[in-house]
Amino acid sequence: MIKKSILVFTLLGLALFLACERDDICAESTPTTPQLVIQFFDADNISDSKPITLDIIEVEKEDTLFFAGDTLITIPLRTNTESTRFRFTKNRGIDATAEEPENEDIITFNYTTNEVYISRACGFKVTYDDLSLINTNGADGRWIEDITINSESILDESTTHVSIYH
Amino acid sequence: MAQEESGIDTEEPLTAEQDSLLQRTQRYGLRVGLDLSKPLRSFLDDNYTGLEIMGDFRIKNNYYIAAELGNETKDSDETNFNATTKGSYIKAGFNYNAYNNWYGMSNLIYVGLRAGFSTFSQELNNYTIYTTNPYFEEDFRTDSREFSGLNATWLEVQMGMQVELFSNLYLGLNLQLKRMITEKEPEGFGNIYIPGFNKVTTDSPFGVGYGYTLSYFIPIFKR
Repeated sequence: MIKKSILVFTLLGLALFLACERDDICAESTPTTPQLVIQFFDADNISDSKPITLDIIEVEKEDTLFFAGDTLITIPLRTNTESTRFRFTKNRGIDATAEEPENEDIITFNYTTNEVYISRACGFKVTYDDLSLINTNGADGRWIEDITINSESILDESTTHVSIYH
Repeated sequence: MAQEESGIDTEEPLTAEQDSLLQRTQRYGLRVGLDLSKPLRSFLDDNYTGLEIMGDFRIKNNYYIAAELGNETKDSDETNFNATTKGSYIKAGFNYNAYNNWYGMSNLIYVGLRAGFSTFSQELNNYTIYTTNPYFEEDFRTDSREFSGLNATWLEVQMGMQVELFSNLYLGLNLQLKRMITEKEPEGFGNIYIPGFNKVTTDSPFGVGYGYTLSYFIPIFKR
């Protein structure tokens, strides 16, 4: 009878442990909807990274994504449309007489979206395919010398998807 | 003999002959019942409706073949989506009674094994695309989708007891530990809840459950 009691309590304990195991919080390490990874290079020496101070605003929004002195940035793309258009403003507030003055280029990213189920806690993510882009310089000319797509598929944030030379 | 026919128990001392005869007289028959916890939960929990009937049949002194049959509907309101599971299940196996009853009693403390099978469908009612950057507004989608023709099989260990409350009426309690064997998952979604197996935990093949049963024993023969 003692052996049986031990068995009962072991099973009960195990059952409770399993029932209480949390799987309703999406772990930070879980890959979810990837952001676009952009790396900045020196236009004069294309193998060298070149830091940039950049304001990025999606054309329909007013909130700014601000980056100061970065060579590698991540920005989100819209998941509910197949196009996202950003104003990329370099050196905002630096006047026209400076060596690298404020300058705005508009980049349109076009892509297709795939919906992927992750897990109970995280739900669904979107990955992107067939990435293409259009760079439109404003009245102030373009600060982007060259822009290339390294990966047409955006499945995670472990690789650089787009390179900008300036 | 008159006592036996009237069906009334007696506390009068038995003769040695009667005693040995009665001790070998074990009742065999069919026990049928209902899991009380499921209608109760249906009443208390807006996200659940369920019903389960159970039965067992004594085949040897300590062995009973046993089965459960049920139907469940469960709404899973998760952080990033809402889904509804509907389906039926059957569990069949046996119970081993480990309890030595005193004369005249027929209670059970048992260990049981079941093979479970469930067919079900899941409906994804709405969901939000999970993003780590809150720059854009939430992408909330309400295009409801149904995933049907799903199924699962599992093995289950039960531990429980059956106590005779009144003549032939039993109250039972059991705990269930389940392990998934096969699972047909929907394309582009996962199994959140499986009728009979209960909640499916991410990356774990185990499930748990409990039952609170009221059953009636129909004596068929004595041996």
